[in-house]
Order: sequence, then structure tokens, then C-alpha cells
Amino acid sequence: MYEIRIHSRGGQGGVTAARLIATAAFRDGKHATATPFYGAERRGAPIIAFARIDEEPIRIYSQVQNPDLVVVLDRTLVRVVKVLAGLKPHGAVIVNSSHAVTLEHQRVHHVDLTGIALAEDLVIAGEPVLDTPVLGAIARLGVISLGSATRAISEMFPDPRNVSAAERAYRELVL
Amino acid sequence: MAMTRTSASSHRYSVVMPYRRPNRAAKSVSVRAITSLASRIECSISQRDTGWLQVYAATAQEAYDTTLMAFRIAEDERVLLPVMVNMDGFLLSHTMQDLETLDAGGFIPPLHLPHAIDTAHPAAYAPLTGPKDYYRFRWDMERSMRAAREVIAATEHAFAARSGRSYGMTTEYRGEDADVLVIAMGTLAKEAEVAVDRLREEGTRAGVLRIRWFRPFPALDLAGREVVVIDRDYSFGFGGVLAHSLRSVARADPYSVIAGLGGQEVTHGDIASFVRDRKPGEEHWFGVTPDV
Repeated sequence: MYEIRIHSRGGQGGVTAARLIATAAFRDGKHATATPFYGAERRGAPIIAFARIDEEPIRIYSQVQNPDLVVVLDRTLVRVVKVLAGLKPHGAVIVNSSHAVTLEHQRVHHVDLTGIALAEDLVIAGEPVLDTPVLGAIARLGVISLGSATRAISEMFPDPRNVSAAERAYRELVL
Repeated sequence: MAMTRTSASSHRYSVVMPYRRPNRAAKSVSVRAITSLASRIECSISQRDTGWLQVYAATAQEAYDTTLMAFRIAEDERVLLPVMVNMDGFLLSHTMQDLETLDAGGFIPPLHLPHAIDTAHPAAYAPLTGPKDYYRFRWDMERSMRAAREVIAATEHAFAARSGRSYGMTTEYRGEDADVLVIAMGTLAKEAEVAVDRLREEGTRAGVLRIRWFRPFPALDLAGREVVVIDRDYSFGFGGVLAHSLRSVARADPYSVIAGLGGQEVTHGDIASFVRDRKPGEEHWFGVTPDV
């Protein structure tokens, strides 16, 4: 089973990103679940969401303890949340950042999702949209296929700029 | 036929009506109800004596399938009682899962209510039943509840023939040769399957028995096996509701674990620990320490 934990702030689309991942994995022919961790929803507060992907039906409902992949949509979270908690020994990390990021002496993958969203004019209520571009970065790691990622995105968000942003994040992820 | 979808708090606001509804439904007007409830199990358990059938799903697929079955069961002339299809709030209601939809055409027969309102034959339908008749209505509900077992079995059979998916009054996982059974409802029992796989690797012959239909309550033969029962509910001043049901129906002496109240995180690792640390006859509140 491949397990993903997404860190974001309320309103940035972490929960939606988890749903898009599960939809894309399903389109890849796999079983998948997406689960938000609900507290009181507050814009700007730290939020976590989970996605699981497996060849077999998924029977686990509890939170992901040992993720294979951690996604951080807001770079400022690394100062207030232990984003690497429980990460598997060879687990991957993607951080939304325009420049290289080192966490606990470990270089992690980065991609400028905010910059991509602004360049594509993907802005809703004054905030750059991060949940659709991040799918491209995740697809780059082979977790989901790019074709299924863009299909999942266009099913949920018909505006083609979402798919362009995801394709750009796919290309621009710094490994 | 009415279908309501609700959540824990709004269901509790309606607490007067569930008691009245089966009574009127069984014998008079066309009030049929399927409630699809996403809730804390505590909320639905508190409705157990209303005369509604209650069933608890463990996956989105099962909730979907069971809702289709619930219409057919509720509308059967031998039953004519409301059915409450329950999903764990958030854990199941807000988890995105794959779901296979079904062409249900013809699966639910046309509704025939023996006491439907007929303007050609006007009649008075009293909103109030006096002591002279009340007990007869209540007995009629119990007669329906007893008949429901057979109707549930037939409906599940018909559904399996159409969909290839079957569930039953209870579902079992690796239970055949188990020495110890984890008994629970809903998503907790699904998570328990993963715990059982791990316990078996350690050499403990464990299994899961999931109570799916809670009202009518299934007949259980535990064949002397040890039982660890997990209640996501509590009857204050008394004990876990499922634990007590097992004591009275199956003469079991379970290790009663109270866990997952209000969405408390319970992992498969925790469930495996419940089994390893079981003390038959005792009650354990998960997470509660002397200083809590």
C-alpha cells in the first residue's frame, strides 16, 4: 500500500488534492481512498489529509502513520508542524517552494506551485490554486500516471488552466 | 416512501419522531422511511428501541448496496417498518472510496401499502392511539421485526444474485478456526481485519465477526470462542451496548473495550493490542488513564 499525507492550510486545497489523487489512482485501475482529518475547519489553520493507493481493497480507516510520501503545500508549515513525522525510511517529500529545501538535514523535492498557479492565472478569491498543479508533481514520482492525473483534474475542474498547471508542475519538479 | 439523509445532531433533534413513525407506518398512512445516517454510533444506538430496523455499513459500497436493499425490506408487507442505514460519521461518510453503481431497475418492487389513503374509501387516521389499541400496535411492530429476519435474508439473496455482492446479518473474516473473535460494527470491524492478519502472523488465531444488522439482532453461535468486543457507544451506568447484547444473546463473557467515541483515533495496531491484552469479563476504556 502506498500512503500519502498532505499538509496544507485551510483553504489551500489539501483535502481536494487528496481526492484528486484517489480519483487518479482509481483511473489507473487501483483501489484508493482519500480521507480528510477533520477538526473545526478554519481558513489558514494547519490541515492534514490522507490518500491511500493499493492493488487490493483498502480496509484501513485510521490516519496514515507512516507515509511513503509527504506533500507540503505551504512552506511555512515546516516551522510549526512535524511534517516528516513517521515518514518511511525511503519516503519522499514534496514541498511547494521556489528554491531548494532542506528538512532535518535531508534535501527534499521542491516545485514552485504558487508561482505556477500565478503564471497560469489560477487564482480563486485572491489565493493561488495549489491542489490541481500538485497532482503533476506527484505524477512525476510515478505514484499516479500523468494521464490519470489530468483526467481526474478535468473531471472535477473543467477549466483547462488546471491541467496546464499540473503538466507544468510535472516538468518543473526538482528531484 | 420517504428517504431522509441526516447526521448525528440533526437526527437527535428529531428524537420524538422516530418513536412515532413505525407505529403509524405499520398500520396506517404511507409514511415509510429510510434514513441514511452518517453519525456517531452513539446517536443511532440511542434509537435502538424505536422499532426501526438498524444496519451498519463498513464501506461506501456496502452503504450504497444496503440502501437499495433497505427500500425492499422496508416496503415488504411482512415488515413495513422504517430502516436506518448507518455510516460512521466522517470515517465513512467523508472517506472517498471506489464504488460500483448498479442498475437497480426492478429490484425494488412497486410500492403496495395495505393501508394507503384511498379517497374512494375515506377513513379517519387518528394521530393519537389510546391504551385500548396502543399495545396491539406495539405487538404488531415486534411481529414485523421478527418477520424481518426472513425478509432480510431473502432480499440479501436476491441482491447477491444481481450484484455478486453479499453481506448477511453478520459478516465474518478468518473466523472459521479462530480461538478469539473481535466483534464490532462498521468501520472499526473493517480495520480489525488488518489487526487479525497481524495477530495471525504472530501465532494468535484471531478472527472478526462484524455485526451488520443490529435490529433485528442476529442469532449468534460463538461456540465457546473468546470474545473481544469493541463498543463505539456506552450506556452510562451500565456498559457497552454491544458487549451487553453478546452477554445476553450469546452467553459470552467478553473483554469489553470502549473505543472510538466521537471519532477517537483507533488503529489496527490498537485493535491488535486489545486482543493481546484481553481480560475476559473486564471492561477497558481505550485511552483513559488514571489522570484523565
